[in-house]
Amino acid sequence: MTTCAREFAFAVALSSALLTGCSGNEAKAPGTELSTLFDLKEALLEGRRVAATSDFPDGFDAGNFLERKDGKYAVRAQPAFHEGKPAAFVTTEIWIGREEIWTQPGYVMVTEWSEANPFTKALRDAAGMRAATVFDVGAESDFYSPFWQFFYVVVPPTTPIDFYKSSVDVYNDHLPLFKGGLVLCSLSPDDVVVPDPFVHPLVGTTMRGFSVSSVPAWVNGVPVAYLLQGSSNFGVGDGGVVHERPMFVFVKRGSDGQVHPIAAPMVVGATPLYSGQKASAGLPLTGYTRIYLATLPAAAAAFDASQYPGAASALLAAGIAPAAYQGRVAVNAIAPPVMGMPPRPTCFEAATFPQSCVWLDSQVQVETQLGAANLRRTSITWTSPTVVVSDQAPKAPM
Amino acid sequence: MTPLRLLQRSCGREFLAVAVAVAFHGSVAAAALAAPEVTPPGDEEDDDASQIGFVIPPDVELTPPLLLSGYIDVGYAKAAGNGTSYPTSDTRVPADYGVDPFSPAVNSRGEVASTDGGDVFVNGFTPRSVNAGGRGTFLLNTVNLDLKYEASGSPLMFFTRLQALPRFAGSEGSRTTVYVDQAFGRLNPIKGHELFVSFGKFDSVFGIEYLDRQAPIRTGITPSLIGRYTMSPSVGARVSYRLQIAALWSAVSLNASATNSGTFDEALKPSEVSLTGTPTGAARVGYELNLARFQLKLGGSGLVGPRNDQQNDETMLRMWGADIRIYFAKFTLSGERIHLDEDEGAGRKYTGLGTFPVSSGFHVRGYWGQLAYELSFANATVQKLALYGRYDERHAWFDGFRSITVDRFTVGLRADLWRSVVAKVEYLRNRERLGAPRVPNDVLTSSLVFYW
Repeated sequence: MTTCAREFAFAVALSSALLTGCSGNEAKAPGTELSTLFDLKEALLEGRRVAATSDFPDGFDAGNFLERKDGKYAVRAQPAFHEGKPAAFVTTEIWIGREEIWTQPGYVMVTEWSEANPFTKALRDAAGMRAATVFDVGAESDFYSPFWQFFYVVVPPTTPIDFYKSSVDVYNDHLPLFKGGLVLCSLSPDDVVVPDPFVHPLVGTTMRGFSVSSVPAWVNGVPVAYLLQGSSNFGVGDGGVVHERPMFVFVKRGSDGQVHPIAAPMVVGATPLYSGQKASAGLPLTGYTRIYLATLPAAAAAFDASQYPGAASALLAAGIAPAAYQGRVAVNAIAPPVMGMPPRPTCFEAATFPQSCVWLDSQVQVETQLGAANLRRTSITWTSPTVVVSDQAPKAPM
Repeated sequence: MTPLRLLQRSCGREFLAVAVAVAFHGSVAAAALAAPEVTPPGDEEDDDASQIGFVIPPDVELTPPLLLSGYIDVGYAKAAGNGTSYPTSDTRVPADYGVDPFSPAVNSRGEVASTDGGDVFVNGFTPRSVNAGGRGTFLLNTVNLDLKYEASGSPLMFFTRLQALPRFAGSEGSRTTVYVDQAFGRLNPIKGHELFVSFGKFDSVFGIEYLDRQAPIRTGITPSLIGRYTMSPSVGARVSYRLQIAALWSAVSLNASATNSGTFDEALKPSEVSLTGTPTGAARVGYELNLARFQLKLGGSGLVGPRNDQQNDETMLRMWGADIRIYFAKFTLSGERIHLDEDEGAGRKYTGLGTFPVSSGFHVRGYWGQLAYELSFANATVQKLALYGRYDERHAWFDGFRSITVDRFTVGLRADLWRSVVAKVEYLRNRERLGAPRVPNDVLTSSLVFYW
């Protein structure tokens, strides 16, 4: 539990850092801004915060997204809940004021088109080295996004692997193009890494699907490192517009009338806000999310296993890891006081825990329990490829 | 005869295009451009040598107060490929940042054969199109009607130019737009001086290419690769002043304006209203040396103001340019260079073609140079033949995107017939030299202009 408490403290710190002074309602002058991994690393080095807006006047501590580790810069996983399950996500880009972002084309050189498994025909040299992917847009562009629509370019087998270095080269040679899949790759400084092992900050489960590409990509003729963050974990609409999902950050109104953060992981939505759609099967399509401030009633509180050992024991008895509930917000946690009566127990202390609590751990729950009036759209969107982890308690050794 | 008197006399006898130019532009500078022929000294009487200032010579026939004129521009054009600058199956986003969509121009309006590159995503850097694709087609480019009122003895002149533009609009069917190209009132506050103050929608003051904007006047057919930034009319106020320095056979001029949108093509920046609340200032300072057989005209232009595709006045557009024209023997050499920088905007941009999501910072370095050789004939049918060639180069980039260098060779032939018809044929060889895919977007175009 000590480790869990420490990690929970991290989540608390993260929430606080994210939400410092998040009470402003006045609109900031309209504008757009993009922070990439290059910007986040620079901000980390300078101790600077990033992406300040009227909702987040102090911006975000870059240390929430990257941390220095062995002379490198490691991406950090942020705890969350998704569809009632513990989850975590990584943020590598933050946009301010963007209503839409688009996929960008990435070109993979193959010697033959194979619809079933195109990568098997990747162009390679005699030593087996694969030709680098060509990305059309660099991180300094207004139109940069880490959401790539891959195209397979059929080239002669004798083509040197470093022959095609830009999309212009590809088009000039009128090569056949075949549409491939959707891949989330963030261009990055070459000293940004994925920690090994990369584990969920609360539950401790290994998070798969994140790695640094072994071969840098070509961007307008220049080799650039990139971080792989999974494929088919975001949706795309007409014109290549990347589907946006909501991400809920919990706040509470204080005696000063302003909203203040509570120490709780965020909830990653599964479908467009209030769409009533069913979440897709398979990987969560949560690669790109917009932050919504979710204002909690006074009765709501986040569960802290270290404060409620009885509840933790009840979870363990049910085969559930207490860390899987750490920070989960119950909308009915604190019973309303009755004059002349002693305070009533919280839902965390009820004999029927965890069923005694009404949890805000999924989009549907947040939407139905809080209502639209308590959800405020912000101008912040970010990358958030999400990994759902098991909530099961580890089995005791035999 | 003094040089001044010489200029006055030549002004009264110049080729019809000069009159058209004056009527169309309401601009002394326009007349100066279109009047390369100067009578040699000694051929004229040196009467009234002491007179100074701008006066109408007594032997010039005065035009009636209300003047109706116009022209019809009919063309035939064929662009190579699909009529656009996009490569086949262009998957890039936005596609118009990676090519020059203005290259396959087909007429004097700068409209292109097509902007339909298939399922491409664009971000508002596109011209107007005749939607012909790569097929050869007849085009009714412009039906132009000018109405000018200038009462004798009055310092005021009113001018309107309406243009009907019949177009095929693709899936939207046929559509004829009535376009108000110009509409202004002009005051000449000091009699005898070339000082004019105009209010309304009027020509650009930047550089020299705007002087050639109308089909009957332009030597060739299509505008240069940088014309989109310098030529367009806008709404606001303008002051023009020209001072002749007789002793030096010279003149200096200043044209300045404060307008809603500056001089960008209206497809890129709307001119009807100021979206920023702050006008764009533009000015050109010019010098002319008008010798009998040699004329030199030099100019420097500047423009500064907020981008009129934004809704704030902090996103600035700055442009400067230099221009030169030399008339010698039967040759005319002209050229212009520009240097343009546009700040990155905040959020969406609002263009003449609609609203687009991102307003990137933008930069252009470009120039063109044209050499024309003209033969005149004392013939009722053919008055003039002009052979011309032009070279344009445009180097441009949006912030964060690769820069693009394109160039163009233009060659053409012009014939002036029956004092009311201009026939032109022109070939445009477009090249993508750097940063843009090579595409077949050359154009063969022609224009038959009937004017009255």
